[in-house]
Amino acid sequence: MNSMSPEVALNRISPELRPLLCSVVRNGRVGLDSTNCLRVTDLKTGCTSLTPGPCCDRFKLHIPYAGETLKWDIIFNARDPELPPDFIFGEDAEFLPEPSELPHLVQWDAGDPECLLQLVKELIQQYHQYQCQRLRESSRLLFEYDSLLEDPNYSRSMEIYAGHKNSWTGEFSARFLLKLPVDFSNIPVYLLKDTTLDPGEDVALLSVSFEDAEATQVFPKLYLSPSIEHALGGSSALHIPAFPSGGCLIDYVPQVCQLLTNKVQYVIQGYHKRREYIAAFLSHFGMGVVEYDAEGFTKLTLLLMWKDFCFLVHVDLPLYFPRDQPTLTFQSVYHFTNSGQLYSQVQKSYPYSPRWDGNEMAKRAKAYFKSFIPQFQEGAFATGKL
Amino acid sequence: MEDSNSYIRVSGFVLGSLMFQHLNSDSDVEGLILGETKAEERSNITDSQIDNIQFEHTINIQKHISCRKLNSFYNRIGEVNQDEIRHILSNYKEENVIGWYKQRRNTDQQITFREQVVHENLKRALSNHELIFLLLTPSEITTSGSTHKLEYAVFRSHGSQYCSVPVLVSNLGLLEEQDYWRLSASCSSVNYNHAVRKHRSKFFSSDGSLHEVDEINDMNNSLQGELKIACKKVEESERLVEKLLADVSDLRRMVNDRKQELGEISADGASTPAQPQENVLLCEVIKTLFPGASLLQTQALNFQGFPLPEFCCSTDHGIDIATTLPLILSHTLPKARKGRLGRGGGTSWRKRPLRESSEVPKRRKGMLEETEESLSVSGSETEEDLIPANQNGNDLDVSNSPVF
Repeated sequence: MNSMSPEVALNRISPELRPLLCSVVRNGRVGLDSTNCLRVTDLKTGCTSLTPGPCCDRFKLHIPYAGETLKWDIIFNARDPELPPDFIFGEDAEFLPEPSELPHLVQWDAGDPECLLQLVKELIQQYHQYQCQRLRESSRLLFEYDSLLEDPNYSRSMEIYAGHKNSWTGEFSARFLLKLPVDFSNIPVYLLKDTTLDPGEDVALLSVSFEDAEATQVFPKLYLSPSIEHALGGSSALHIPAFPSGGCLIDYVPQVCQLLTNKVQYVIQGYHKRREYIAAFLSHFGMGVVEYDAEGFTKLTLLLMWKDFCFLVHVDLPLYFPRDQPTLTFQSVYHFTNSGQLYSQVQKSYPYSPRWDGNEMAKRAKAYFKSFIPQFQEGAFATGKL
Repeated sequence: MEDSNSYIRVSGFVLGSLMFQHLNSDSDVEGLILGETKAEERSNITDSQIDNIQFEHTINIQKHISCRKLNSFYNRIGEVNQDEIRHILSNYKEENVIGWYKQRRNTDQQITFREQVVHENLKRALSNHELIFLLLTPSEITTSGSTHKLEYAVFRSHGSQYCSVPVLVSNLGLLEEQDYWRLSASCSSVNYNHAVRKHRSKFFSSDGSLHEVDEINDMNNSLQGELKIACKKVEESERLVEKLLADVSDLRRMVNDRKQELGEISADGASTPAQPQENVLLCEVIKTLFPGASLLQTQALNFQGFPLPEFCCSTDHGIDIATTLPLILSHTLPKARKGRLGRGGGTSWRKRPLRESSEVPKRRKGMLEETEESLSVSGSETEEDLIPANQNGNDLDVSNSPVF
């Protein structure tokens, strides 16, 4: 399969068809998994080999759907660009949509750049109906689908792929892909290292694979968009429970949903708590604040003096603050270690309670500084060198 | 048990003309296919089952009509325009339409979404549930464009599924046909039909059978009769041979039994190991006919195949040749017979060359007078006379080939 960049595809396509393909490769996001645009491969021509290019008018379109990738052939005619395209639906030879229920096919407008993309979306909808119909081969899986359909939270955000029945074992498998109705809008703005990349819509998808029709082998998996994954602490931060034996989706999906919601709430609260903490330290230490993280409120540096002894205090707030205690790093401004670094001591255990508010934490921290500094100073003079 | 087979038949020039017309077109092309359908029911009776019925459904492609442009007889959603079909067909009838075709360059050999819709609609419009769809997909094999391939397949729908139907291309030499054709080749040419009708009465009778068929049947019956007679004769001769073989077997068995009896008798007193039996009769005959020919009497040959005189048999076996084998002596020359009966005359015979012919005619004449009734000339005898070897006393002149 010759995967090609959108620009290469657009350069090779026939000029009359270029606007249609442009909207597909640049803006084409269909289905629940819309993190990536639709992909085009195997660009070919219906003209003779002696026809000078660019004259390609048929290609394969890769469409993500329910964790699978559909590979549909789209066939135009470069000599008749006003004609609507034809389709070959890959391995789904039995999928035959109703053409009269495809408005953008009935009213095909070759001059509308969005026409092809809209037609593809309408075909996906009919393809979804076709897959749901195929669930009738298993009463168990049909029950799962019907029960989810009744819940308005999931009925409109569900993609189903019913695998082909294994002619050898007689086993029938299916995959459900659900978009979880979790509100991520209050999660702090996430700054990507590469700002040119569009992180896309914040979405959480739950994929549940039924390897057999009787639901004895069920494998769930949670997919998060990059910003959400980063905000929650990476891919290993969130572990969803295993699908219970004899359980059903209508019970399991809300459970996962709640777990994710709790996690998001915790992260949001942590952000607010951190902000409150920083604000209280700013209030208490005023001019002593050297710098702080104004985005994520994860760091704070203070320059303090005690009996003509100046020192720095670096405060690192963890992701799950206030559950996890902030780390205090005391650093002398005079003394160096043998390795040439400023002499410092890290304190992770000090009087702390997650139930204190920011103001109380600032006061308690101040009191701790006063009690610890003499000891730190001694250590600096004894161990460090000027 | 019933079997059903479907075939598509197309002549080489029809398929070739369709491919040739469209191969260089700069776009996808489509059109209608004309032909006729034949159904045949064959009943095969075999040893294992008596009612094996086979249905053969043959669709003959005879002609194609190309459309000037795509989507000419259907719209965007595949709805068929029957008026447009009639316009495309012009003088041809809708009943002759057996399918439609499409050539799609650089695509898979798979029917598309719109083609399926058009096919179903066309089936309804033409009221033909056996409608076929011929798909041609040319493509390049090499990146340099030096080699192209053109794949083709015929599809027919069974419900929602489309399956491929085997295509038989009839070329000048029909290689796959092993039997006689049971049905005549179909042809839609008007001129052809006119010519056949004009001369039909010379070959066919009113009921449609050929004139010569009855005559051939009669000849066949005669042949069958002759065959029966010949078979009867063969059977009789075979039975005779069988009887003779049985007699021979009996005689052989008797001979073997006699030999065993003789062998048992000799084995009772013999203590020496078995020796090869000497043919005593032959030995005595040679001594009688060729008393001095030691080379003939020897029983041993050297590695080069020459006889060794020192291994002659010198035993007197006590057999009187005149009584035991009288015919041997009756076939010899009178002079030779007289010499033999003397025993120990030691006279041997050899041929005398022709240069001694002055004495030959008299002697020969005498010999001939005595033996003209019983003498038979053998092929090995030459013009030279047979004279006793002791006349010139030179045994080395004796011929190396023994002559009896």
